[in-house]
Amino acid sequence: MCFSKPSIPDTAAQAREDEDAREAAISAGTDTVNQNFAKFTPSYYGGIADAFRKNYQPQVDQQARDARRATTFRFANNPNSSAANRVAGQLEGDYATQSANVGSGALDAENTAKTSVEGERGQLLNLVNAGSGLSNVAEQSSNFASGFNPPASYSPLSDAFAKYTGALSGAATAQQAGYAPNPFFQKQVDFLRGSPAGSSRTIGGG
Amino acid sequence: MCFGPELAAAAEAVGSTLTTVAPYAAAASTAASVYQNQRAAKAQAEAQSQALEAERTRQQGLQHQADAEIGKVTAQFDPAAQEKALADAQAARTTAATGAIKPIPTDNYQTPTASAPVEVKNDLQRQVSDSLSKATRSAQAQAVLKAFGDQQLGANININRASQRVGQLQNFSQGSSSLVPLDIAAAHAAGNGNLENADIYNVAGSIANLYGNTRKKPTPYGGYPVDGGGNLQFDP
Repeated sequence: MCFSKPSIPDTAAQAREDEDAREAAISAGTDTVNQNFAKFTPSYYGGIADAFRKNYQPQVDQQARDARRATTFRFANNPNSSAANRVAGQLEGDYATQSANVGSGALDAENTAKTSVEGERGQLLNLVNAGSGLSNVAEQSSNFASGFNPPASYSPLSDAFAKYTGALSGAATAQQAGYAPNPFFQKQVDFLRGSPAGSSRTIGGG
Repeated sequence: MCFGPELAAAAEAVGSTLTTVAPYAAAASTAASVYQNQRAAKAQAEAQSQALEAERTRQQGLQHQADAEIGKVTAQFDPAAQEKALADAQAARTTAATGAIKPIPTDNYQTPTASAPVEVKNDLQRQVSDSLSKATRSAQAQAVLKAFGDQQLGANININRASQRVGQLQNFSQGSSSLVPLDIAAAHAAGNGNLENADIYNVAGSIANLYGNTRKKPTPYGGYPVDGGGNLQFDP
């Protein structure tokens, strides 16, 4: 008499193989994302900071030159006054602050790029972990990595030295042209003008 | 020649022998069935134990990996490490900010004039120096403040990356542990062969018992001894 064993489909073994394959796919997807994002090194981010500086520092330099020119003209009648010196000193200080802001802003731009890249990387890894198609995620990560050029555009620097080139010089020019002085500006124009033309009186600044 | 009586006697003898042997055969079959059942239970227990042990090893491996990831990321919260990270961030910020400070690019427009008295020129030097000092101090202070953000960003990136890796390990852990019921079901199937044998022995024992019972002569009074007349015999 023959007793054949009933065929038990080894679904457990099959399920284990499927799970191994799933984990392998997730690991492979993670590797792909990491490989595509490998270009985002400290050197890459340093390049972003450098690009930021190269964009903004010349603008600051140009604005500072314009402001200096404006103050030179403003004190054309009394260039050797303490008021002229004070304004020149302030301008140097403001230029230094603006330059420092550009240097610091370069790091901010670097940080913004890092945040953006890490966010995108995290989203892609979430897709991988959720079991999205490996080829799909690979393509997305590759597209992001190759197309990432932060920032898309730099906004132009606003007039950082307006107080030297704007209202005051405009008021002085208008007054010189014969217009009635604005009381508010007049005090500052007088202050900036300092002593009468030709004077070389030095007043302790601070 | 007729062997009828002899055959009948032989059949009766065989029947009698079988009747005698049947209870023993039934007992042997039952014992074999019990033995096979025990073997089945043991095989199942071993298979189940192996499956659970394999899962435990897998989970332990994943846990070790997760622990390592968490260990790496928490190491950055060590006071000394934090202090160093902050100092590095402050140095980087300060260098970036103060390193950018330089005099205004010179051109032909400047005060005071070349013929100005030395006092005027000295005054200008002092004014410029004061302003640059203030600007530099301000930039340094701002750099120190912003460095906290830089350090935090770096820490957050590390935490997020570790979190992603730990999340993935957790994903694997859940995927593996979800298969444990299937593993246990497979382990139960491991003793099926013995269970079949046990069933066969059980059936054989039942048949032997049934045969013995059908061939047994009726025993009045529940098998208590009777005399030739069918009366119960009691010991005095």
